[in-house]
Amino acid sequence: MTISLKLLILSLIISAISLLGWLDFVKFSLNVILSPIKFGVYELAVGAKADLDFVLHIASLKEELRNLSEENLSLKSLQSEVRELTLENTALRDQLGAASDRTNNSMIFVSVEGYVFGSSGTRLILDKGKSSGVVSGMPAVYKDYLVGIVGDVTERSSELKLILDPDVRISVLDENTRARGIVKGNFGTNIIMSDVLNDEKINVGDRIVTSGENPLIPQGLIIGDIKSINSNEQAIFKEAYVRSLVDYKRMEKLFIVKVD
Amino acid sequence: MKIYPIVVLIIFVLGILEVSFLPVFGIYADPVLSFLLSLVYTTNKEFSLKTGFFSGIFIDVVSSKRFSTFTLFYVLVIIAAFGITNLLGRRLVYLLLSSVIFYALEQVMMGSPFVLSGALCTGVLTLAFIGLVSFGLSKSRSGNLRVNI
Repeated sequence: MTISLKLLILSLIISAISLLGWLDFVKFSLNVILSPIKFGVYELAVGAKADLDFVLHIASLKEELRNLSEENLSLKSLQSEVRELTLENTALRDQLGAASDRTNNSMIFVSVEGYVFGSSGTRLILDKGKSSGVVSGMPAVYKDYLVGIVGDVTERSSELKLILDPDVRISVLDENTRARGIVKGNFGTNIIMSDVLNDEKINVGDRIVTSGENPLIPQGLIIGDIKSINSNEQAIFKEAYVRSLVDYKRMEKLFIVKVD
Repeated sequence: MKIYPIVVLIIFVLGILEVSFLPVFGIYADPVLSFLLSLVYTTNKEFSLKTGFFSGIFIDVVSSKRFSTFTLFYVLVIIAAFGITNLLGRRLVYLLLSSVIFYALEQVMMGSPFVLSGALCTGVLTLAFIGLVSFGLSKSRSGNLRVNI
């Protein structure tokens, strides 16, 4: 028997044993040693990338600082407005006896260990799995931003499909006009909001949030802002490119939302 | 000094680099695949197949996919690469084209978007590894490195 045939048969035997789940323990045990190395290298890469970006963009930082100062001023005024609205909202909820939408959700804190091998950067490896209550389909958030949806889950690790991944489909709506659509990844490069009825209104700069139609994904998680719109009068639907405000290449700590 | 510890170290470093380092910088290549194809070009079938098999096992451990996915994939890739070289001749251009095709197949297998820059990067890495492995092997033959290939 040739070496090719021997190794091919051996690979198929391993594959069969793996299907029965008998090799999971070996994988988990080895990952206990490898996880800290992967996490350390990933943190090192994120740090190095941040330093490199700083050096490369040092010229534009001055202008960015000026813009941020202006934005900060407008945000401060908005903050006081939000505070007033929150108080008003709480008072109204108390009066109606309704519970807050977010109180039913609990969070699972996860760390990013790296990218899924061969995923072209659209899927992350998370350090928690079934044993921590992670289930496929759960959303992962960074602050109020939706980062992605949990894919394959093993006992102690899981795969997170970023919004950029073409497999991800999420029902969304325009926060201003309430126009509905579906957000999906576009070959790992950007995010597209599609299936928006042509007579519904969407504008450049509008914020896109989750609509809450999927029971696992809470309403109101931010996807991003509309960057440009593609529409054709003869078509039934139009689509828009959505710009996310999250830098997916700097994700280190995330929360997985568990809807009870 | 035996060659196997060096190969194990190279595969370990390349595997960790692909999972945790290169994607942060927007580089979506498969350096392990490139390294294995460089072995197809520079060494014999038995050595390449054994390295491919054990590399696959290591990548199966670090990846989140089911165990045996990469073991089987890399063994098949090396068998196919030797098939191509036997059929068309051991030319660099065929191996570089193969690396792009195998990278694309890997993306299909993983259900990932095909990134052309990733495929090209894998091709460039294959070329670089062929140079480095050839250099390493020529040094080992003149030095004290024992290479049983």
